[in-house]
Amino acid sequence: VKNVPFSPLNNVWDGDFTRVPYAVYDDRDIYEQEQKTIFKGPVWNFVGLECEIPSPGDYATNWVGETPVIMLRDEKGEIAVLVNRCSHKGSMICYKPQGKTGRLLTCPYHNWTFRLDGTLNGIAFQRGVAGKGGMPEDFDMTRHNLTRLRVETISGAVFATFHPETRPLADYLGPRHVGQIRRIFRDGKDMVLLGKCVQSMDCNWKLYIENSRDTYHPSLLHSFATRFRINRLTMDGGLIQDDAGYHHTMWSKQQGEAEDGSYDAGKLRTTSTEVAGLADPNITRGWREFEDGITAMILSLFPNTGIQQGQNSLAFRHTIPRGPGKCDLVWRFVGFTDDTEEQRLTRIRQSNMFGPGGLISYEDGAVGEWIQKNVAGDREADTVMEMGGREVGSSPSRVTETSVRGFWRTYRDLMSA
Amino acid sequence: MSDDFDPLRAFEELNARYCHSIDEDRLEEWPLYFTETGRYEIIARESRKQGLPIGAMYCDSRGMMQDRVTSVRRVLVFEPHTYRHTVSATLIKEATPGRLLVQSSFVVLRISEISGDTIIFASGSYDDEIVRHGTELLFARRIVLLDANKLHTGLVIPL
Repeated sequence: VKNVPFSPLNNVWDGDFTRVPYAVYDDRDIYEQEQKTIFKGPVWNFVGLECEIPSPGDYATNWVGETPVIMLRDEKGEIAVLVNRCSHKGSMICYKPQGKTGRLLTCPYHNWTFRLDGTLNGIAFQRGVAGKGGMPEDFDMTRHNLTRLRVETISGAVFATFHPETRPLADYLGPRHVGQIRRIFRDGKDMVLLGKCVQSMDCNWKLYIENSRDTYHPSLLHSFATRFRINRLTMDGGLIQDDAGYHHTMWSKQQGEAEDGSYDAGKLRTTSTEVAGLADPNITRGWREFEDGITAMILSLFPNTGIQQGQNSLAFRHTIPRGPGKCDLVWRFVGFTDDTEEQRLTRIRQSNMFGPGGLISYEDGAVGEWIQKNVAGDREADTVMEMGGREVGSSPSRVTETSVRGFWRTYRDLMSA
Repeated sequence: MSDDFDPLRAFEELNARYCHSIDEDRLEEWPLYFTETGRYEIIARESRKQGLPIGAMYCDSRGMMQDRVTSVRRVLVFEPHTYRHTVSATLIKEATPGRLLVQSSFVVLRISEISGDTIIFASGSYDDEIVRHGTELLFARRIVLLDANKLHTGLVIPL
């Protein structure tokens, strides 16, 4: 790396994308730079689902990086995303996970009120009481609005950005990922929230994000998926990246497994456990929802949003940073309003494989914590990622770490700019 | 149920055996506390209030519970840990011959084998329907209503 300005990241990282210094997982200065450069930078952040705020006046709170935000639907039915911090003393304005606003947002502390577009509407006792006290005559009401983020939606998912120069959402995601999102959510179908659960993990947010792009690990770590033939590297599958390495999709087809016996011959741990099949196959049983026959598809959208089709279990995975060594993974399970009772029950039963208690997804949280525990003692050491070469790009094989390298290339480009 | 049947005592005995089976790592016994078509769910109180059906675990047969145990024993990779249940505030909501509806409060501590740390892992209430099956009482339904919609690291062993 030559001629890059000083940043906490450049201070610890001078190699290529096949090596990542452990310091990026626990350095306080790097973490603080991420809040500004990544989450308030030229990226689209996931802030929730349209179906969480169906009617005018509905709101739901969330976080962009560590900044609290309010996602709300105004009187006209338009979605607005505002920083959830009063311009007066910085109190949270909406202090519940979700609810109804009136025509105005009122700060609980001193009752300053804001219109649903974030503009300051009124100040309690602005003229004082009985001619005494109050704000100065020349106080400029137009200069103390709530910070408003730019908003775009795709297939019922709401994204917001702080940065004035972020490209339009469709350009940012690129045609390949726009296509995959529309595929999973059958653009135009009405989505319904089926569940929301939070998994708090003692690891840096990037460890979970790396995991979600790591196509090399699933059939090695997740024995449940391998044992019950939900996902194996020998199945027909691949990965898709956009050219810049921002976003990643991994897909596989349960029916298309290679018949060369390479799994059993390799004597991997994931097949050595002898489990005589499921006592009740309803956990994994589903219907062919997608005509292309793809049974697993996981998207990882830069910086911190995952989208899952695990058979018929559809979910958003939003990783919220909570300090250098902590993050919250928020799961939103969804279906469609026109699902039959049986389809809805299938999605509920299959959710046993995902979420905080997921027979497949649990392990992704566990490994992040195991790595984090090892950081403090070896901050100057590096991870090694040369599986599938040293480049970044799409691949017909999933035996590669190209998408993880893609994440780091994007991350470092932004952090070093 | 006979005249000398004490529903509170019957529940507390059943529940004590249930908790000790889990806390003493005899997980194979856990599904046997349920009827063949028994339902076991772990879901946040807030989700239940909003009518969201998906929580952290959903089993609608004893077989599904056995599959969870098999996975814990032979498939899942996780840091070894045990639980300690304490159950209190038992409320018998309905007691008819052959059927009890009971609500009780629980706190579950999680003890990590590697670090030795004990954390408050979960609190909430059990919403139970218990039925008589021959000489035994079994759960036809045990809904674990979590007070918080957040689990640390994740959930491997049932509550």
